[in-house]
Amino acid sequence: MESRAIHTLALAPMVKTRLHIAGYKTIGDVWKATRSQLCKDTGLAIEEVESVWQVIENVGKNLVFHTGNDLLQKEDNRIAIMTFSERLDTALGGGVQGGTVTEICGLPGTGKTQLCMQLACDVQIPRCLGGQGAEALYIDTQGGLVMERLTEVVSATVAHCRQIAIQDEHPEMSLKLSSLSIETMLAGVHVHRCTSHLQLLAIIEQLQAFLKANRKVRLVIIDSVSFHFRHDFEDLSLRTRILTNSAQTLHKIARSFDIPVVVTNQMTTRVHQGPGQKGSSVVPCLGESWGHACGTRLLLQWNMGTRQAFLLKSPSLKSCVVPFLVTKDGIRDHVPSIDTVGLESAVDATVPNTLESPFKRQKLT
Amino acid sequence: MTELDQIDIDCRLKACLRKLRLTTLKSILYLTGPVGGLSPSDVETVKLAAAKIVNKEQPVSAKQIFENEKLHHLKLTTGCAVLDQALRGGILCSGITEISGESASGKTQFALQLSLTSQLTKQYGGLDSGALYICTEDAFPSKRLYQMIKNFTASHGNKLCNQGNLGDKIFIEHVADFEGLMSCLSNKAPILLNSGAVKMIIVDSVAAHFRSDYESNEMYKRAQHICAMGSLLCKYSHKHQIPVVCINQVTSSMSPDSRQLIPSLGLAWSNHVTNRIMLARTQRSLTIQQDSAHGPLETVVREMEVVFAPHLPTITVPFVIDHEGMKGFAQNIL
Repeated sequence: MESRAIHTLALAPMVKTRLHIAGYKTIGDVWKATRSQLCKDTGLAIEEVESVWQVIENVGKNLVFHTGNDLLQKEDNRIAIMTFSERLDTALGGGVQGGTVTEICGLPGTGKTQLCMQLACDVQIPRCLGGQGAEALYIDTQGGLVMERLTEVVSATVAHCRQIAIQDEHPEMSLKLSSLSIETMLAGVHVHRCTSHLQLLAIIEQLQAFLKANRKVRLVIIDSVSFHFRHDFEDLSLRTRILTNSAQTLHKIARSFDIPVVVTNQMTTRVHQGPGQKGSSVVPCLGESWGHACGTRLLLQWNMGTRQAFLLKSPSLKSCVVPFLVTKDGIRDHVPSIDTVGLESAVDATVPNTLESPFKRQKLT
Repeated sequence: MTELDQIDIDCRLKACLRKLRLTTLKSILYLTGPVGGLSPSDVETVKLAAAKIVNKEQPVSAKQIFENEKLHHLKLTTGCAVLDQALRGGILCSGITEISGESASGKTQFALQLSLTSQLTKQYGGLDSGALYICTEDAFPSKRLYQMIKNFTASHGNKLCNQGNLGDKIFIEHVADFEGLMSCLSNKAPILLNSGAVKMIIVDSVAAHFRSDYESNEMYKRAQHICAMGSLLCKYSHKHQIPVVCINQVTSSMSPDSRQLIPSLGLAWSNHVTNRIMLARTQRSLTIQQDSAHGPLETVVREMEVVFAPHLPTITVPFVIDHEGMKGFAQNIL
């Protein structure tokens, strides 16, 4: 440790330069000197020297290594947030995973906001029914979070949970469910309306403090992260730098609180240039560097009258395409038999709820 | 007093920031790593302190918002019970509502009607205020508006917010190019909105300039301009809780698996739209009975389709246009 170079420490650049000029290259060099000598040599104030000492003393202290086995066990204990579409859950490995940043991208009207609303409800499902019994923070930049619709999804979710409890005739469970109501579920979604990119940056900055104060909040949704960043920016390299930094912060939050962070992203047109590459395609916004920033990427799209979710990127799962529905009650599985009923009238909201057994989504272990 | 003075941090950090000329909240929040005399933990402290000033709001629970919205009616009625039912109460007061369709499908009629219904009192689903109507294409159809006002006053007279002429509360602005549109939106609109004279912005249409004024090599500039306009409209909508209605033209789509006509301006615009409604003419026609003064009228049946909206399923409602305006009817009459 003594041979560790000064410039690798978490110090201010100015302090590092002063130390370097004065000939202090490693931690060992600093250790050998007294504080007053350091002051004299570097011209730094005594408080600054004190902070250098503090940083050096803390080096290596909170260093804990986890084995792969530990992490695996931790991952096994983690409960993913279900989406209420079984196939989508399977594609995502049980639902939206904790500890990572998941990006949902898609063209307007493909169901990004709907999926987010569903997740904000599902995170509140009691533990006895396979949920988390937690709350959600919803950062809404586009005004897409319409209370009317959220209430609809919430009441469907509550009704669904009650039905399962009745079916099972489990006295303990019904006791737990008695506290579950539309009001409590709505109260469990904390909404932050955000009107500028600066405010979004500020909110991201304050996230850690908020999550510390509200331990029940175990899901952060940003819908959408790209909206404000797409204008107001002339300097694209500055934008990339800020976005990468924000992504880092989100990752840190996801990891340190072990919660899922879900962000939505818009799409943009990329024009291909060069020989043999004419034409254009639709790609997620914010450029290539942002694509690296998210652990999991889910693309929502319409295909031949059905909604599809396409898992673009995932560290542990194979990429695949699954169909899903947005019904009056929220996100549901696409039941193949509907295909034959006729795509002409393929208004997914009119699909009767009876087609889907509510118990299908039951996750009891 | 600079923005730096408001930030709650100790003098050493302030001095460092001043030295680095980081005196605005923006520049501080843009910091991404240690600079100058600021160590990584200093940067965190400074950013958090700046964030507290930029964002003073705390998250509100959905329950509170829901109860607030119940008190303030947040939908603008279309003036027709059938269409209102399809739209669950009317046009949403947050975000941009786009009305697109081929020519003569009734887009301007819809917009004119909304400029009248906005003047109904809140009790009847209106906004108790006027509208700003920005015309970019044709001359404003004042004759038709006058006719609609006459009929509207006759049928809804007691429900109106002012007893004067309805036309007095519709502020019409003709703009000829993108610069004109932006200067109208950024200079005139705030004055009207802040004074409370208008609680709705209608742009008829958003597409006109963008489809004609740009060369094919200026597409990037065009997209930037569309974004600038869209974000400004979004900002007004959320700040003042007002509906913004934008009329859009349609363009043909070459891709075989999607609809034949799609709203123009592409993704740059679509990403800003919260609710997309499309109007279309059908081949059918219908004879409707009007009052004795006008006699029966044969008219073409049109359709209103909700393409996407966060709170609505995709549905199609047939409607006709008569001397009073748009009227939806149930499908089974045909």
